[in-house]
Amino acid sequence: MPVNAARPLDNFPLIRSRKLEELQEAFARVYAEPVVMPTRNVGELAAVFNNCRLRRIELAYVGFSGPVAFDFPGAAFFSLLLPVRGTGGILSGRTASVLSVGSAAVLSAGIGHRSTYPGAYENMVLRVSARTLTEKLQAMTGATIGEPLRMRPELPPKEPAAQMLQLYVPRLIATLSQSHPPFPDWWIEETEQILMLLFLRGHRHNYSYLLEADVADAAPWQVRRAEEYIAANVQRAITLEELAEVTGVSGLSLFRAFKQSRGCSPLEFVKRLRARGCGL
Amino acid sequence: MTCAARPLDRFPLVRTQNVDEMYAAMERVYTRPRLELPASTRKVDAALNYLPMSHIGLGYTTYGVDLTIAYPESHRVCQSFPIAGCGEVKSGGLDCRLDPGHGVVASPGATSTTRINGRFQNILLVMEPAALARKLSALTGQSIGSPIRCEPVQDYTRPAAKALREHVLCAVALLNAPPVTIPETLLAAFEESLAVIFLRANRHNYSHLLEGEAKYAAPWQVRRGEDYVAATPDEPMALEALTEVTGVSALSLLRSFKARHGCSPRQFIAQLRASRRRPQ
Repeated sequence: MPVNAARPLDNFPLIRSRKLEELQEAFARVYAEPVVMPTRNVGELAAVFNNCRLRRIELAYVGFSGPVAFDFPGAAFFSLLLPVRGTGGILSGRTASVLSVGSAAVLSAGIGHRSTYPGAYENMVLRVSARTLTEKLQAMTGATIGEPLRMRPELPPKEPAAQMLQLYVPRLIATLSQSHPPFPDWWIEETEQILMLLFLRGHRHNYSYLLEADVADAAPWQVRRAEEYIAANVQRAITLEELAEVTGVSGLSLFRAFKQSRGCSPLEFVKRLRARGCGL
Repeated sequence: MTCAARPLDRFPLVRTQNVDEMYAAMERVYTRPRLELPASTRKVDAALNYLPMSHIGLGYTTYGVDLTIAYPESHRVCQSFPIAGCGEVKSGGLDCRLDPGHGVVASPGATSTTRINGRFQNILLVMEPAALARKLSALTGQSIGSPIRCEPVQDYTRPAAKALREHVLCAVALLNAPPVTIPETLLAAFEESLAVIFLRANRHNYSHLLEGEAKYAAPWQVRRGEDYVAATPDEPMALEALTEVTGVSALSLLRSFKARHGCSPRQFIAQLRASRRRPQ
């Protein structure tokens, strides 16, 4: 791979290198330090890493000559990877996903992953800190995000927000590649807000149900069932997901129904019962 | 011009070779334009697309012939972002170029005459002045009495104008992309960002309010904002609502919250909601 050819975000260079350690270091600076897994010819690895930080969101281009495999620890970022050349594989937890041109992969914060590249590979990356994305989710839903936000690795194929994001990122990178900072702060603010909205709406995660458009009202019997379930399990940690499963309505519906009938959220209701040290 | 996909093709207004049909379609979006065609012109090759959102519309026009259009006083704000061909606009004694590097903003009440060539293709951002005034009022905290008047001549090589152009073209590309219906929440987010970026990027009779150093909000105003968020936890929070109840501008709120909490009002709303949901 010619290191000197024009690449996306070349005006935001992080490294131009022929040493694997330098690529490792570059990852460590903006994401998390990977362990390089032994592959057949680990030695020279031509790499280009460009990274443009807006305010809370970063856009990157990473290309290397491969083959190589990395073991990444959990990082404080959520990422969207959009391959533009070559193939690769990602193993995150027990989920394996294939990286190839036209596909996309989502990585959750706090969960390590192993990525393997049989040959030359290039991708574009959207990276947003877990804290920022969680705050945005809280702002959108009004819910307390206790359990960490976790993206499901598989991508829903027809989700409009996901499709829009997969168009947006290359377009934004093309724009940034021809621009010079500083960018207007209002442009950065609005752009970041839309990117985060598309990220949260486009991908499935453990709080997706809070963002579902149509919220049906929970029936009184469903609220009662939730109350009974809480009373019976008051000594143990109960999640909103669990209540949603038991009652068959969404977390958001239950949330609203509890607000109406009890003046508090279901989980606050659990805590109140516990504070009183009794059941219903 | 009939086969390739054009911007906003998912939202067709008309495809026609008939001048009268074209005129009827134009009338649906613009206030009674008057057309002047060369006598030899019998056929046009027109495609008009229009995506109406709640207060903002995005349009695409191409006519396929040399054409002069006289627009009477419009009641809306309309900014053009030419993407091909060229032309010129005469408005209020000013001559403006129309080509991919130059556009024009028509303010309410202004008349204009546009002359364009057959290759001309245009993206239009059409906005209701009342909605812009509300947004402006929310951003600045000032009551907006006299109607907004924008500097008509647009040079899209200027950084701010370039950022606006890129954002509009990006919104056009993204909103045209998904094969399924776009959820209201996504449309609303794009609409919000278009209005804010329009007001920040353009020079107009209220620009100075957006540039000056904002005053600090009084503690009672911040508390009132907190109370309001606490009382309406499930509603999507528009900045307008917050500025209305606090009686202070969004820029002042931003400055106060940055000073007090080290965060923006949006993040502030998120934190307020989160803290409210936590057991006290």
